[in-house]
Formats: sequence, structure tokens, C-alpha cells
Amino acid sequence: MTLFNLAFKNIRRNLGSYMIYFISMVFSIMIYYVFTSIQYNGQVVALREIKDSVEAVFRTSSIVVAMFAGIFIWYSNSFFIKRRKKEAALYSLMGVKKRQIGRMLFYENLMMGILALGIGIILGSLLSKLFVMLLLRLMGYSIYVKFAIQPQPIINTAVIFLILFLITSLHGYSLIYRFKLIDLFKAENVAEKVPKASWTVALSSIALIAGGYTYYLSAKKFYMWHPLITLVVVVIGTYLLFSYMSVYIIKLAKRNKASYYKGINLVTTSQLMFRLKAHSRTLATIAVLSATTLTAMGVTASIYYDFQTTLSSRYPFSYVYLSEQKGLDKTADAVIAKYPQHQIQSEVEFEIVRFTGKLPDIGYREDFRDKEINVISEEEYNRITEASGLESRIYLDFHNDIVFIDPYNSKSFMDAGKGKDLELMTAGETMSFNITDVRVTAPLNEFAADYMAVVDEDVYKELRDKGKVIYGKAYIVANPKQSEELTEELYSALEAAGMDHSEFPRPFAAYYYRYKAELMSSGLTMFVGAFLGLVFLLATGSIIFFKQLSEANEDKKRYQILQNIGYDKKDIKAIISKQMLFVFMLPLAVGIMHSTVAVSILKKVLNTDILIPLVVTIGAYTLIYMIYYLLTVSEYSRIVENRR
Amino acid sequence: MENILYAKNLKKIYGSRGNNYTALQGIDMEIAQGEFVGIMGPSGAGKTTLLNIISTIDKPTSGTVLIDGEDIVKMKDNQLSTFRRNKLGFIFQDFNLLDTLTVKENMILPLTLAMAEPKLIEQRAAEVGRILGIEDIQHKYPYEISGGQKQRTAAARAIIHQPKLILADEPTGALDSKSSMELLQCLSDLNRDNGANIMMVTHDAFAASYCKRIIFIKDGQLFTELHKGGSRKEFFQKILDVLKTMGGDNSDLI
Repeated sequence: MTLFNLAFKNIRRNLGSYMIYFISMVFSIMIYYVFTSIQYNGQVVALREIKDSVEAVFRTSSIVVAMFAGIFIWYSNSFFIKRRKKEAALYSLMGVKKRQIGRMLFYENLMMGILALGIGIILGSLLSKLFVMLLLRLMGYSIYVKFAIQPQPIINTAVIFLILFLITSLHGYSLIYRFKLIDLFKAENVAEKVPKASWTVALSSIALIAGGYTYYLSAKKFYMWHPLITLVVVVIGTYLLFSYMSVYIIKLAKRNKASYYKGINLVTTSQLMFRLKAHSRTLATIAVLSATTLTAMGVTASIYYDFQTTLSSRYPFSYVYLSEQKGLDKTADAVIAKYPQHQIQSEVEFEIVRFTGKLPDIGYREDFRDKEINVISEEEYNRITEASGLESRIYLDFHNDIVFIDPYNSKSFMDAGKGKDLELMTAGETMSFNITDVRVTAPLNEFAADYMAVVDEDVYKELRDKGKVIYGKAYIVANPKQSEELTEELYSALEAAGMDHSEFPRPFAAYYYRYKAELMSSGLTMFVGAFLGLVFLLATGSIIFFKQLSEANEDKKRYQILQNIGYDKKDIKAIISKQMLFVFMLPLAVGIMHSTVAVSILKKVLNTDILIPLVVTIGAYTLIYMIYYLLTVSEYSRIVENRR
Repeated sequence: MENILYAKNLKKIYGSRGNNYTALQGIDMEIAQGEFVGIMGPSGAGKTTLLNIISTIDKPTSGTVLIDGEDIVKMKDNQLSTFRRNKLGFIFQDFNLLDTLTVKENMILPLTLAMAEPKLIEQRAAEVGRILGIEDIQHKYPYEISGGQKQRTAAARAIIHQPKLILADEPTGALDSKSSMELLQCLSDLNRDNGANIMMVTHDAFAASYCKRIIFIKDGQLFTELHKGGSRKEFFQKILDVLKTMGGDNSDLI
């Protein structure tokens, strides 16, 4: 029997325990393949408007997948080799050279890798049509996607993963050399020392995490180092939390004799103490990984949700145009009239007067404070919001009062502007106004009118002669999401009629264009976020699964003792379920906590409610995670109950 | 006096169809209240099979076993677990202590499973700890104590819930002679002072000499029985004589 044969037999025999590893590996390869094949997909590349962003996004995310898969394969591989320490020592005892054992494990690993690679690529090609369709649908295209297999992504995937397998297999090979023959004769588990609980370290872990949170949440402005510091502090806190706090809490729980002495609690709690201590690093890693995944998924989901729910308030009108010239409305009306399916539902004409002004001193960059400011009267403002159906109305009390609108910044940033001054430069004089209120939602479509100032009707009349008067009109038509043709025609007609680009960067703000652009980017991030999250989740779940199962083999004896003294199968299963529940739930709970805090900052930035997308993300994550829990419990019980 | 154990015509046949091995061929035995019975016999005589059947871990091919008046052969798995945990106490050769629990926690395991009140648990733990001389080490973990202390902890666990019958399987097998003597004295005292009913399987004639009665089995059948008459020394001599006539297993006689 050759080494190769032996390796093959080993794989067949160990198929059960390799299964989860194998599935996770196949899944990572499949996702990597799909991500690369999208970059090469002829139909996607043909869509010029999304070509660049799709290529950039998928190139980066496929690198992330490869890196993560690399770490995961490295980790699982060393886990498997360590688990087979005894087997290796036995071969060694029989006189097999370490070089040969190493080679055997190397072959095994490589064979598994190649098999996974083959299956991953085949599944990927079969499903790539589905994935491309899903991506395009999320991005708002309804194109029939042809089934296509290109050689480049296959080669790309094969090369990258073969390199990964080679590196990890070599690492496994080197591990063999560290085994000592004496290990075979040593007792399996030298009794572990009782973990020490230090309440100072335990409390400091809480303090670190709480401090990190406070620092993060209280920040007014964001710089790169800001979340970075938080990250470092919270990660250190998390590791300490799992190493010390968990033991401390269990020691406290042990003091409550009434519950500690009840039924299976005695065994569960005391074993948990040892287990949590021994696995504290893994559990903390799982918590950090879960937090990362949940944050990434939470952010993409929130952005997608924000787009879906707030676009109608950010872009209340189907069309807004601005011009120095009067009379463009006739052109526009005529074009819209040609499309009966896009009947006008609401329309409003308005005028604004434009000045150069100075933004209030609330933290804008100094050299950016000189801006064009569009001044509008309060009555005009209220007419516009009435036409658009927004509830915002403005009633100013004093002559010098002003409401300042900045659609580019967040509400929390803008709030500092209340009571500050806004200056408008007119020919020869500077006029100063008192800001009584601030808004971040523009009455016209989001960025159509840049910075705006709402003034009293009489003030407006005074100002009208001193600045540049701009006329405009806003429409709401039926079915704006399907209004591509109308939008195109309206745009060219208005341009032909004299709508001017030189004065405004955005003289024409169409809901359709914005909708399309946001759908594309949020659909893209949603797609990538969801699949990256899934890859992370599978790897995380597998790591915790392996870790517990390796424990099961060592714990077998303990459960045998319990059965001998009268614990029945139900008790044993209850003990296992309860212990595993803690092992699984603690990192998940900490991960959820971290990610909720991390994502909550979006609430400030996006000015939307992120509760729903966050709950959905966490719910989905927990659901899949719980499948790993159930799998682990059943596999663990199977190992423990097996008397041989 | 009522019998704690009543076994009638116990048969155990391993294997099936032609390739049979008969481990027990019709054993009858009884243990009365207050007894300390030893089971001896050469390797392969069926000691372990007998113990396993009485421990409810294995089932006989035919025959009846009544423990405390209940027929354990007819019980289902779950009933057996409950029965085992309430009516039986076990002492094993390799202690079977959980290394994640302290001495005291190991001791009280059977009581926690029976959902006893913490107050009662504390009280029993103190009592049993005193009897077996392990009060001083009750907060230590198994890896911190000696083999003899481990086995006394196991004995404490076996008696804490006041079972009807204590089953000991080679309890001195892994102990040095001094620890063995201490443990056997403990068991003997438990039997005498606390009325514990003990059935002990052993190879060791010295250990067996602490019993009140010894049942010898050979080839799956009862060989003979010895009752303790005078001193332990005389009894020890008698046991050696029986073993000699029985043959086999000489290595253990020393």
C-alpha cells in the first residue's frame, strides 16, 4: 500500500468530520469563483455604466474572500493535524519516517483541496448565471442572463487556491516535525489547573469596552484614527472579557448554592468554567469576527434600506430644473404631455435669489466656508413643500431670522449652527442673519439647490434686487421609476431651450437618475455584503464547530462517568446542549453588542432609522449560526455516547 | 429479613447463532440487609458480567433480578437510569471522579441529580465527609489529592444518597497497600455502623477478607461460598485455600 493509497483511505474514513470543513471550503471557492467570473462576464462588462464599479468592487472582494479562505484553511488544517497527533505518533512508533507521515498528510490535504476546488468551480459555474441575475436584479436591470463559462475565472480561481493549499499543506507538513513520540504515552489530558479569577482584570475588560464605546459614540467628527482606536481598545477588552470575566461570573454563579446544586447545573457550570477558560481566545476571536461580519452586513443592509425608504423624501419631485431664463416651463409641460403614463400629479413654480455667502462657523473647513447660497422666501418654501407632500413648514418670527439648509451634512453636526450667523455678500455690503433653525432635508430634490437660506417675505423682496434671480419648476409625475424615456427627452428638450450648465452644476435633478444610481450602488454593496458575510459566517461557524468536537473526544470519559453513576441520555444531552449554548451564545451576544454600537453611528450619518435593517441582519445571522449550534450538539452527543 | 438483592437462574450468553459464549449459566444469589458480600473467581469466571447485570448496565439473557423488590430486568432505559441513581451506589477501580469538580462537588453529584435541598446536601456532605475522613480536602480538585483520597471520595459519592446497594468493582485495584487498607476499613465501618449493603468484586484475597461473606464463581457457575467466622486472618487463610482448590488466577494470590 502506497502512502497515496493510505492518504486516500484516511480521507474516506474521516469524511464525517471533514464534511463541515469541506463544505465551508467549497463555499468559499464557489463565492470566489463567482466574484471573479462576474468581472469577466460579457453581459455585465457590456453595461458600460456599471462596468468600472463592478470590476473594482468584485476585484477587491474576491481578494478579501481569498484572504479569509486562506486563514480559515490554515486554521482548520492545523486543527486536523493536531487531532491526529496520536495517529502520527503510532505510525512513528511502527517505524514510519516523519518525512513519510508528513508526505501522507500533505497528500491528504492536497487531495481534499483539489476535490473542493473542482466541486467549488463546478458549482460556481452552474450557479453563476443565477448569481449574475441576482446581482443585476438588485442593481435594477432586467436582462436575460445567458449561461456562460469563461476560462479566465477558472484559471484564476484554480491558481489562487492551489497556492493556498500548497502553503497550508506545507505548514501541516512542518507541524508533524514538532510531534514527539513520547506524546503517545502521555496521558491524554493532564488535569487542568483551576482557572484564577481576577476581578481587577475582569472589571478592566468591561471598562475598556465601555470606554471604547463612549469614545466612539461621543465623537463629533470622524477621522481615520478614531474608529481605529476604538477598535483596538474594544478588541483588547473583548479578549480580556473572555479570559477573565467569564471565569469570574461563573465563580459568582457557583456561590448561589440553591441553583448550583440543582440537577445538572453542578456539572454544567463547573465544566463550563474550564471550557470557557481554555477556549477564551477562540471565543473572543469568534466574537470579534461575528462583530466584523455583522457590522459589514448591517452597514450594507442599512444603506440599502435607507435608499429604499428615504429616497422619496430626499427626492420628493420627479423633476426639478433651475434656470436664469423664464419660460422653460412651456417646453417641459409639452414634453411631459406626450407621455400619458407619466401624468403630472403635482407641480410648482418657484424662484430663488442667489448670493455668495459665508457658512456659519460650526466646523466647516475654513477655506470651504465661502459658498453660493440660494435664498428663498418662507412662503415659497411652504408652497414647495406643500406641492411635494413633505410635512416641513417654516414660519419665521423676526425680520433678521433665517433657516439654514445644508443637505450635505448630518443633523447632529448641523445642530451646532443654531444661533450662529450666516453672512450674505451683496454688492458692497455684507448682511448678517441669525440662524434660528437648521435643516438637512432640502425642499427641492436633495442636492438640486445646494445650500439654502429661508428668509422672511419682506426680506426676500429687499434681497431680490441685489442678487441673481433664478427661476425653476418642480414636477411630480406618475410612475417615476419607469420614466427613463421621458427623463431623457425632457433633459435634451430643456437643454435645447436654454437650460444653463455654466451657472449650476445640477440644473436638472431627476428622480429617475438618482433612483437608478442609488439602486446600482446599493444593490452592488448589498450583493457583495451578503455573500462576504455568508463566507465569514460559515468560516466562523466551522471554527467553533471543530473546536468543540475536538473537545468532545477528550470529554468522552467524563460523560461515561456520569452515565455510570446514573445520569441518563436525556441528562447528558441536556448538559451538552446547555454548555454549547453558552459557548455559542456568549461570543454571538458580544458580537451583536459590538456591531450594534458600530452600526448605530450610521443613524447619525444617514439620518434614518436603522433598527429594521439591523434586526433583520442580526436575525438572519443568528439563524444560520444556530444551525451550527444544533449541528455541534448532535455531533458532540454522538461522539460522547459512542462507547467505544 | 428482607432481601436487598434476589437473583434467580441468571444466564448470560454472548454472541449469536452457533458462535456462542456462555458467561453465566444459571446463577442464584441473594444479599440480605446488612451484608458485605465479596465476589471472587478467576479471570473469565463471569464476575464482571454478573456485576454489570446487577449494576443494570447489562441485561441477562434469562433469569430474574430483584433489587429492593423491583424487577430490574423488565425496566426500560429511562427507568433504569432513575433506578440506578436512586437505589445504587458505585465505586470503580479507576475512581471515575470528574476532574472539573472539587471533592465535595463530586461527592454530592447524586444528590443534586435527585434535586435535593441545598441544606440537606450540605448536611449530608459534612456527615459523609466525616465518616470517610475527607473533610479537610473537600475544596480540593481530584488532581491535587492522592489515590486513596480519590477512592474515599468515590466511596463518599456512592453512599451519600443512601442507596440500597453499593457496588464496588475492584476498588483497591489502583491503590497501594496502605490506602487499600484504609479504604477497606472505611467500607467495613460503613457496613457495620451505617448498615450499608455492599457487594464487592475483587481479585485480591486480602481485600476480600474484609467481607462478611464471599461468593466464589467459576465458569459462570457458583463454586462455593464462605462465611466469616473468627478473625480476619483466619478468614484470609480460608479464602486462599478456596482459591487454591479453584485453580487459575494464581498470580493474584501472592
